[in-house]
Amino acid sequence: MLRLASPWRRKRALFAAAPEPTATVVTLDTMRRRLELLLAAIYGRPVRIVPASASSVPPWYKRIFRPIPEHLRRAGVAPQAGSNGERIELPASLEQAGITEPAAAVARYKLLALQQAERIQRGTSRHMPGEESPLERDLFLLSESVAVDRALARSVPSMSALIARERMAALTSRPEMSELTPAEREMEALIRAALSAPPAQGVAGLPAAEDSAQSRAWAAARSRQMRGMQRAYRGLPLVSLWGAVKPAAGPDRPPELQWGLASGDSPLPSPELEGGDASDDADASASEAESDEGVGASASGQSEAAQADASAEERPIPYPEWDYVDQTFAALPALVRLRAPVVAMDSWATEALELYAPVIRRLRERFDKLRARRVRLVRQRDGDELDMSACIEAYVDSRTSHAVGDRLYSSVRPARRALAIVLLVDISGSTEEKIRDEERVIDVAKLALLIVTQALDALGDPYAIVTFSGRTRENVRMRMVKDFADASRESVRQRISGLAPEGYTRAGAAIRHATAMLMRQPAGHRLLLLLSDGKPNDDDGYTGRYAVEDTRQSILEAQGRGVHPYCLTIDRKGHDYLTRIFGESGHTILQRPEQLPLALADVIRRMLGARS
Amino acid sequence: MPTTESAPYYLPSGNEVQVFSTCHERGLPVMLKGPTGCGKTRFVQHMAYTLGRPLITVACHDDLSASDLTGRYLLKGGDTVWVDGPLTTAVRTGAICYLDEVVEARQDTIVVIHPLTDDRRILPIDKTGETIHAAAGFQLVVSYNPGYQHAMKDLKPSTRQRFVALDFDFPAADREAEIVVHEGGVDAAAASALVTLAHQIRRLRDQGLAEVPSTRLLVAAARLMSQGVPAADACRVAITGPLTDDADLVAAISDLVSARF
Repeated sequence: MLRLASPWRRKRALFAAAPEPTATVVTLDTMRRRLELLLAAIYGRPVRIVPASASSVPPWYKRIFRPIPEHLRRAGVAPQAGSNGERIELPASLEQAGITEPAAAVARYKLLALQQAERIQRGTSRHMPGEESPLERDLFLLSESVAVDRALARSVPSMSALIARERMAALTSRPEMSELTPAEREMEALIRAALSAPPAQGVAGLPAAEDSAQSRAWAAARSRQMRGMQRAYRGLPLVSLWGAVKPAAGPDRPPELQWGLASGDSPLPSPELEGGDASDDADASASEAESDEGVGASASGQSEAAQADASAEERPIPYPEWDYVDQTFAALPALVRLRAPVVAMDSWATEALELYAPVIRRLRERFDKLRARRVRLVRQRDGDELDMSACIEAYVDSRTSHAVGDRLYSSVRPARRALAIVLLVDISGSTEEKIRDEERVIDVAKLALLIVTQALDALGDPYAIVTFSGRTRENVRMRMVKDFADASRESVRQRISGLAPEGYTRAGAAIRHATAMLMRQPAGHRLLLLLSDGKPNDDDGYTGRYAVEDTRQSILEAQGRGVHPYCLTIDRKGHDYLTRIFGESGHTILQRPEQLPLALADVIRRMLGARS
Repeated sequence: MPTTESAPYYLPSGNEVQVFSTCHERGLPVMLKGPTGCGKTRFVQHMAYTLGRPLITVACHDDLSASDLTGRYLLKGGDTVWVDGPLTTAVRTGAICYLDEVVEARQDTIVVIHPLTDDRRILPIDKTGETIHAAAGFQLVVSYNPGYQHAMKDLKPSTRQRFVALDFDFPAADREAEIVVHEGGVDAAAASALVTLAHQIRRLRDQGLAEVPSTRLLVAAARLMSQGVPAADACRVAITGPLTDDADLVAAISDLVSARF
């Protein structure tokens, strides 16, 4: 029997060394996602990791009212690993802990993250004794730390050696026994016993606590035994590796949410979040209903759509919002609320169409050329049918002793892949501004949309028009002017006619919703066109860099899902933030608003040309 | 289709074998739904062997045309001759025709199977004017992977309705370990470590991992291990590498591997 192991050894060089991050400096920034993925895989649920702040003094400091002797001082105020039972805090860098070597830093971060995640799993924060009994608390923390290390050493054996090394190091910096009170001495003996034991084994004098409740019970009983000495317990420094335990997160935390548009047809309800702003939302829709009547939303065909939208209005759709300061998604989602579009029964559309008929004709011709057609490819090596002229030629060739070609088939193929387009229109209050004379930004946008719909009808690919505005994170308002399936041109015109400025520009959530709409379309190309007049902003802190970074993140997410985003704007001062959000080639700043339809045609043509 | 000496190995997870046999008996087409590499193709091979029918497999793709299924005229000397496609051959000979990853084919192509999937069981061929009645034993089986790719890859509702649907998923942990032992040739401890690893990685679906590790990947890793490749290397080349290029995911999965091997 041939030994197969030896040829394998020779081939070993083929298998590159285990990939470690190439970054020479390992920080939480470089490690965070890797750690979050690791924890999600091991514990089966997402755990958020955030940087620990240096100033966050562990709460049990507060319980020591009298001055603390030097030898009992807890290890500095350097950022420590910790958790509140919900999320994990890790030091932003390990330099203060004296770890600079990359491999060592990676290992330490893994250990810290796993220890804290194990605590979350056990419920350490929930069972932690109050601040009134420092002894019971320290006993509890010691029991938990030992149990967590034991669990880790067993489930991840490679961690065992590291834990043992860290314990040896901690042993060297324990306070002198002679300086301690009897109660402290007893506690210190337990700590030292724990630090000298191998991590995977039990420690004499400590319980093998399966969960935090058992640790709690043991700590309570043990501190009762030591009651006589308790007065003299001033609190001992615990081991810094074990980190800080913060009180459990309060019940006011945001509920777990299913982000975004569900794959089914109806967005998921999230009643917990709705409760908070129900009253003010009701006001908003009431006043809206009045204004709708003002413009005369009485078309009979409209009532059905309005009803459908009314039911959608009750269920906000949550989208995550990027917080660039924390470099993670904010805890609270932005809620997109779908509203029925306002309908105007005036003659504006008809007049505009007449006035711009020549422009529209030219545009339609342009778009008609881009229409997805099926083409017959002749002289193929393979195909559905024989290509008769090629066959005859081949027959003639063979009779006249010429070389006979093998391209004798024809087949029918679509000339390009299907395209789905969402036009995302900013109708925030700033569109009320006058551009010249009596013409407002919104008027130009309306006109451009009207003309563009004519052109897109000629293109034949599915498209949707949706407006967005909003005030605060809980009320990103979007109105469906035209859904992909809407075929009625007349009602689309009425809705374009009814567009009016409102609210602010919370762009991130709107872009995420538009992306979700596009993802549900069967198409080879997906184009997300943002028509905007300025920077994203809202009146609850969604301004400046925060707003730009969230919008940029939403664009990156869209690109990651294969959507092609593009921004057309009239904000001439917008170059810097537009480049940050959309990239150098992802936006066009229009010098004159009436260029909008032509610019749009260019974007679509470029996209089809470049990608089909 | 060459016949194998023994039935291809398949470990049932439920009553799928009985359901499939009954469908075959009653001439009902079957749709197998489930993630990549969970055993759909192996199941069809197993059933074809058990039922004693030849198996004709067509891997569907974007460019698959109706003539690729039914057949076409070819030139031979100065004449044209009709050549049956795989579907036509299966209909004539009473074979099981398996359209693998059927959503990859264009919807207008798949329409040609419609007359075969109702009680008519006929295949009309326009180009020859022939109408073929399916021979006894002919059965149509399609497979697809729901949630794969985008929403655009979906079957027409009118096509879906014609099938009996069997849902597949990765086997339960003990069965999956049994399969890895059988197919990969490793011992039970290594197999169960691989399965545990797979369960952990499968939790990373939707966190940047487009597809989760399949039973097939585990078998591949096990086969390398059974030939003396160290477990950590086998997992890296057979599991981590095929799944992702994302550096953070690669690192996290390597961490999981090193925790287990």
